[in-house]
Amino acid sequence: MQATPAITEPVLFILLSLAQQPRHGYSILKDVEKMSDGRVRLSTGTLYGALRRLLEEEWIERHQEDNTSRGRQGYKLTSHGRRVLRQEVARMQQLTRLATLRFARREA
Amino acid sequence: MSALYRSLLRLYPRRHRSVFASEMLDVFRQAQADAANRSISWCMVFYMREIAGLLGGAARERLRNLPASGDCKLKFGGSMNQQPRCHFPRFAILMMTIIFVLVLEIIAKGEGLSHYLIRLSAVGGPPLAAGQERWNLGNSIQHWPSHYGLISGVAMGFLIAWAVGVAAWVFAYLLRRTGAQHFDQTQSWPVNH
Repeated sequence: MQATPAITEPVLFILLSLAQQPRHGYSILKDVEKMSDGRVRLSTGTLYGALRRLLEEEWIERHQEDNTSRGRQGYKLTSHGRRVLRQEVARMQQLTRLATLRFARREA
Repeated sequence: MSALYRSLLRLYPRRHRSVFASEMLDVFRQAQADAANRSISWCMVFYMREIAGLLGGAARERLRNLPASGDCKLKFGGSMNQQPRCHFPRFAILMMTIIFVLVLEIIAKGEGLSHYLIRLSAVGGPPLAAGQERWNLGNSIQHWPSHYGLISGVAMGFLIAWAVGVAAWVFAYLLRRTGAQHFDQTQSWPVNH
């Protein structure tokens, strides 16, 4: 069985961006910037390196946008990608709960 | 700036370029148009980020395409089995040549400096400022031949390593062209069905 690669912050933001709806490259850039309040700004090199890896892992797939005259290439989450994202978010929630508990005990 | 971006895209492997290059350029142009509406400092940061992203991305893609050490099986004295994906990248030849030229340049500079110091000690050197001591380089002249031998040895070592690397690559390339990697799949005895 192939090991799940580490999900870096930019990759997590890209997956979260695609979780809402299929998007093309520029739309992902803007959405990541908006979600992170301008803290994470991806360059096109970083974005397409991540998209290539996600396509290879089959976490995302290509999606042709029909409603634009330019026929731009979009991307959307696969069911496998959505499952991985859910697992990652659950892991982070568990981590946050644990951290909150530990802080509460220390302060009590 | 688009021209620079397009030329930097050439640093990516061909396979990556064929799939993503036009899309990346398209997204870059949109982001550039957006950045143009902001301040000059914002634009500068944007361009720096894009260039750094491209260089880093290209390096990562290049490194990713290098074969893993276990992928190449070349057996001597027995069957020869060279995997099709085992090849010495042409990019590495370029990098080896650049490094080799840089090393030669550094050695030449070092030799020039040594010559200068020897000449300086021989003629007494430039006039000294008040309170400044003159270096005694008399011993350096005596040790010069051994330093020279060491520098020449290092240069020769790099030259030999470079030549061996290039020769190995040419050898592997020619073997691959002959199809020698398929020899172990050849059956030279009758097969009973």
